Amino acid sequence: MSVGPPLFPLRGWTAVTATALAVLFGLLLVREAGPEWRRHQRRAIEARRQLAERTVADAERSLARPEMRRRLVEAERRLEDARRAEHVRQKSGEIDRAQQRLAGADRQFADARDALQRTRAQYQAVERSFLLAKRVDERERWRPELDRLRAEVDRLAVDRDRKTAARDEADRLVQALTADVASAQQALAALQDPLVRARGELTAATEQPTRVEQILVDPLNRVDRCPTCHLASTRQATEMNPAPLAGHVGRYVVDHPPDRFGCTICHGGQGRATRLPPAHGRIAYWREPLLDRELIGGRCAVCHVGATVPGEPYAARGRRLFQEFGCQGCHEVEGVSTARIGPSLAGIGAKVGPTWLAMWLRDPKTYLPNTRMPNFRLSSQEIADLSALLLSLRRGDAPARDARTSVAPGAVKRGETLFKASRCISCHAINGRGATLGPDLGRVASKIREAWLFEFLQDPPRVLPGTRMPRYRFSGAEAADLVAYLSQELRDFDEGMWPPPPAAPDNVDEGRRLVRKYGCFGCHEIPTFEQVGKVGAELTGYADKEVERLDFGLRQDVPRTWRAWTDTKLRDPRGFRDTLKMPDFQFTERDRFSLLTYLASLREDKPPTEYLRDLPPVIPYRPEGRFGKLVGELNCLVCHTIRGQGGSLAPDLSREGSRVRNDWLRRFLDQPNTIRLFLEERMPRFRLSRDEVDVLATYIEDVLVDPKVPAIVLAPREITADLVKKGRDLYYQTYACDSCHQIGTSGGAIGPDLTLAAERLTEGWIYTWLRDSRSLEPEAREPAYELPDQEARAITAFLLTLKGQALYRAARD
Amino acid sequence: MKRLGTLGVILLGVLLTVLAVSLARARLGNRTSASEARTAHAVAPSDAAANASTPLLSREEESGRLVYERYCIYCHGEGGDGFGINASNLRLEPPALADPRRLANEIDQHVADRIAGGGMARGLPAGCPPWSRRLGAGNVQAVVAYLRWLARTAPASSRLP
Repeated sequence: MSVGPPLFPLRGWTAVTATALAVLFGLLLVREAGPEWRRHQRRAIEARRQLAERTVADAERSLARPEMRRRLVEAERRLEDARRAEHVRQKSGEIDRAQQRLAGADRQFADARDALQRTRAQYQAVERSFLLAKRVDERERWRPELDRLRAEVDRLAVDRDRKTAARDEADRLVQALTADVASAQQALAALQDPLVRARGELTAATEQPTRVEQILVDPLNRVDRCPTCHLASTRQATEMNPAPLAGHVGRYVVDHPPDRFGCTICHGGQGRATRLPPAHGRIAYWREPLLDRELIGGRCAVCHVGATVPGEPYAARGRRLFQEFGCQGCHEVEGVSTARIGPSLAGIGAKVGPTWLAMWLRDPKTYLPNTRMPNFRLSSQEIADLSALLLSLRRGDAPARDARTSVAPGAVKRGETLFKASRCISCHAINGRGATLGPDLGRVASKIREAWLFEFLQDPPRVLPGTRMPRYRFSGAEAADLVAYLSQELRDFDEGMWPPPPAAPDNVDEGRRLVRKYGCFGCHEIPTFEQVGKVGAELTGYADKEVERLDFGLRQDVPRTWRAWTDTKLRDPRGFRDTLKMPDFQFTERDRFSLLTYLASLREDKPPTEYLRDLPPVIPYRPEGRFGKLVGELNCLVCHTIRGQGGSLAPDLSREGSRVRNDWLRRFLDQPNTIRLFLEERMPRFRLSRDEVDVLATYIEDVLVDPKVPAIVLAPREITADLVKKGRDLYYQTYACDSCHQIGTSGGAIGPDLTLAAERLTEGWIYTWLRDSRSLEPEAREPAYELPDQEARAITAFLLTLKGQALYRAARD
Repeated sequence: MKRLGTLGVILLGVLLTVLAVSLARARLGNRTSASEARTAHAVAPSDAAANASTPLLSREEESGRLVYERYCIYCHGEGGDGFGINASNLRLEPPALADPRRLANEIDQHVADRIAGGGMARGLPAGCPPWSRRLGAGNVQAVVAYLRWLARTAPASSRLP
């Protein structure tokens, strides 16, 4: 029988094949042994080691300084002494004796406590029988026992207290005998600590293995191997290095622990990959490519959903702009409010004339340079058709034609006085000067028909639903005077030169088709179009939109990336194709970048709720009752904020009841005056009735309070001339409060006028503000001096007595 | 065996070629995409050209600008020109912060300390208030970054003597 086939029949083609395969296998091994990430890791570890070496050298050098050497020697000597003393005490048995005494005292305390508890239990049993006894003579039988036990309990309680004190004393003695060594050791360790830590770091850096680093983030269901190349990214870095050696500079890593966040949730890329093109996700079919470094702020905004995003001004700005420009009128985004930002167009046919309307539709900025309405680049025919439709929108009861009634004598003058007294400029600019809450009134009479104005001034919400203008309680005659003034003075005196409306034949149905095409109802409420859906693409999850799904149309010069497409779209909305409808907003570079950053935050998958920050309250504050009704009529929350709801043009009223004196408040609501000198906007005068003032003032006083503001701070006898003088010196010399605040005719114009602070502000508020203004108003412009108690009292006394003792006393009563 | 041999040679050749080529492609592919990935970090050419015209502020500079325009502008003025609306009410003239010479010789930390400590830290109570508590360290650093940007971009004509 022959032996089986030989093991290695390496002859002929077998030999060739085997060799080839072996060679290829060798090549594969070589490839695996030298992947790019190993090189990066080695560089990063080397960098870390060098940094650690430098730190060790620094620490050694600082310890070698003569002063440090002296302190080290001293600490060592102290430790030696302490050890020797303890040894001596140990030998002499002092420590043992003290510890034995402590043990004895402990035992005695335990015995005393047990005896007390037993006796007390007995006493309570007897007491129960005593109390339950129904008849007097039965009760009297228990009394001697009761008294005896009670005396016993008292005695044992005293005994126990004594034993407790003895035990504490013994304990303290033992501590004193052994504490020296412990504290000396601590002192020495503190001196050597930087060197020890640096050496530890050096050891860790030298021994760090080269291996795949992986972060497993369960809540987000991600596995990120980015630290394999970007080794320093999971630790706080102190300086910027070029990628991939870069780490996160600043507090980012401290606030966002890597094992909770990983990397790809913000940066994108393919977490599980360890080779380059796949790892950064810039490959076909990966939906989450690495995000441009500048846009990373948008990813912060995914979790930080509040009005500000820490350290990321552009993301917060983009979020604000998205709402201000009304993007959500055409583009749905989940979670963004869909309130219409433009005025209602119901009844616009009676409001404006055809010339103005045509001018506006052609280019809104020719009438109002800072308008939010974009330019739709309409053709003349489109303008004609849209005008036809809009001018046909009248409400039933509005007069169709301009009623040029005769003007009563003196009406213009009265109107002007009323206009100024009502402080319309608080919300409406006049030819660019003033606030921008309402439209610029500089040329209003050329735009709006008198009859409409007349109705509007008397009852704004009825004529223009959803308006923010408050109801001023003008009578008919007053409204007529105002209209006369506006007609005469606030018009465009060149309106004869306005281009005439297009003369083409117009078609209301065509106009309706255009409204449907361009989606005007996204910003304006238009009758019969209330329920129509939005005309733009939905932008929920836009940040994750694949490049393959973006339509580059006819443009060859735009790089095929998400960012380039979006940036081009914002720059030139109809540039990709002829059939596009998005209007031209003429964004500035800053606006464009802000919006781009915000759009990068619109991700499809929302993070788990525990990751979100600055969520708005689940039930927002709504003022109720008669107060709520008045607030709605007067539109207070357009300017003021109460408990997080409202606008930021005027002070936050959430604590107004604690801040101001109620009598002042009532006077102010009746006749508002100037408190802050540098503001253009002032509170208008609403001409409220006594009853209405009462409702507002009572609610503010009772509900809008802060319990930590005390009512009274200084007793009358405390307000001495010395204290007032001290306060004055602090005010003018030490802190120079007059840089920002005015008293009398001198001082700065930034903070409120303090001349009548005693009349306006409560004592408790002045004091609390001086001590801790950040707890009352986190965003105030006051520098948060946080004065000590004595200084705050002095300045409070000074401010309260500004107009003399008489006023102060009167104000207090 | 001879017939198998010829077929075997052809198959073997195909197999080896395929293996070798795919290996080579993978290696080369690594290198080129690595360099591509490196350049992809830079801004695309059209974006760079557009950005160069009006340089956007960095995130820190923009944060600093927002803080400056809320707190500092009233005394130190728009763009750090020293003519804020409150400037004439002050006992000490507020400096023009945008002057490059002003901050040229100071390191960032010194400037931040001056903002945080205010005039009081240098014995000038009527100067700038100490902002450390109201603003916090992060915002103070952001303002310093903005001041550096102002100094860099101040037009030559506005450099005060």
